Amino acid sequence: MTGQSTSSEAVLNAPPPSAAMERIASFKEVYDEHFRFVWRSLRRLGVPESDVADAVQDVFLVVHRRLGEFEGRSKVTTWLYGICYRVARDRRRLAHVRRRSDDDGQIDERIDERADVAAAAERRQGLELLESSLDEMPLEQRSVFTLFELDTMGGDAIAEMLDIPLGTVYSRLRIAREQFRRSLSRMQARDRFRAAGGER
Amino acid sequence: MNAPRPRRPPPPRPPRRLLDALDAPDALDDGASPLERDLLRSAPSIDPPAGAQARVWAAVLTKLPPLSGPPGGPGDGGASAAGKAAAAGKTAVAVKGAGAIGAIGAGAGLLKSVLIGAGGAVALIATYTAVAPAPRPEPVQRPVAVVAAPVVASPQAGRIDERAVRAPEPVASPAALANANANADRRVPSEPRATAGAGAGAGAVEAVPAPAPVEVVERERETMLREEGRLVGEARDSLRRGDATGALAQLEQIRARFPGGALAQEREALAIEALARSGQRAAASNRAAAFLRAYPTSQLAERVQEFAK
Repeated sequence: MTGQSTSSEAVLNAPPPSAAMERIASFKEVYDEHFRFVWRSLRRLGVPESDVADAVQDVFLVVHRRLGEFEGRSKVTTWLYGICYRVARDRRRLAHVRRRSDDDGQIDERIDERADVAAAAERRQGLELLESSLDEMPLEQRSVFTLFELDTMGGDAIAEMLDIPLGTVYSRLRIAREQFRRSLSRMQARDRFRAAGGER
Repeated sequence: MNAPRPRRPPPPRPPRRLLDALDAPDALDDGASPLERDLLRSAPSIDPPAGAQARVWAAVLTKLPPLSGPPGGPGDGGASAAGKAAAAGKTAVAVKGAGAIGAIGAGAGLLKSVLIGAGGAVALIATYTAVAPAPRPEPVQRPVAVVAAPVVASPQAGRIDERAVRAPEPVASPAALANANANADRRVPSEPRATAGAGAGAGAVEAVPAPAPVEVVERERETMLREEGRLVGEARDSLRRGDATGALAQLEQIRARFPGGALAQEREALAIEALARSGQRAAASNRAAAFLRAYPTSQLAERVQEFAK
């Protein structure tokens, strides 16, 4: 009750509570509650460990700008995931552009690079192999694939989170699996080729 | 009669997870090969490391638009317009100071990204100062108000507490305390110090009991972060104008005020840059090496690496 009275005193003494202040407060709540979710989602969407803190910042700066617009028509996580998705997509594009300007779009070279990745992956227990096969998926497939296979979310939950029909979830999943399979076997083939002493 | 099934339109059955397929003999229906399953199982942990939440929050705070900005106005437009306006003002100032910016930016891709990043933040922070020159109380005393609290509070956010606890100001100088109380009256009104009159002096610090509301501590911490962020932003601004010496002095002041500050890494990285740009290569290199020893996994490590050579 002392708490009560001090807090009403607080209201009297406080600088005029501005809408901006309230906004910050609820922003902080969103941040605290969903920081981990945002971090993980970005990682799943392919933002590398080294960049993820920056990407999380980007996401929450958007959240801060848009918080007023969010009207609870969807779940907060749906809204946040959408923002994560766009942030991840933009970063991905940048990375692709950078990579392309690095190797000048030489397809053969890129495949060789992948062979290197695959070779390293053996040592690193497939981590990089997994990562690079996920990297080859279009983001919309990667998103469904990782939510389903790695985060073990159900189809319905994914549909809600991505705000797409369930049928679309499953069809993306199917295509993603095919893609996953294809890139694995291609990488394995490269790897075997190199292992057999065929390095260029 | 066949009631139409409400959900699940086209696909006949929900697919089985590749990993779950392990246990089921007909798993291979889904075609998961052992390699595929191994790989999926090897998926790395993607949880944020300890401390990341507080660190990122601090960084986010430095980039928030002004407090008095258009609240939820036309969303996007409001905030960024304000930012742009501020940026425009800033540019006018900055241009006088330095064509140097361009030259330096072009020199090191590294700097470029720093500058771009800093540009945004600084513009926003600048708006903050311009629009809301809040009657900022003599800030040096601020930690005093906090000292009593954070020891108790906050299960998370170790870094920041650390700073508050280590705050070097003489903790119980009665003058400072009175001052802090006066300040607190403005800013953190629900501080439960009501018991102690301003004259009570040193005893009052101990008298402030454990149940310091976490919220207050949080708010105080945010105020401090914001302040630290603002100052770091100003230092960055100086560096961006080409005033490396000025930036160094500012950074040194920040270090004195927030020795273990939440933005210690950013501050130090800026200082290293400023040293390098003011020609003190050796000092920059030493401090860069020390930085990398202290924070080998820092986001800024790559940037700092450049100066370690």
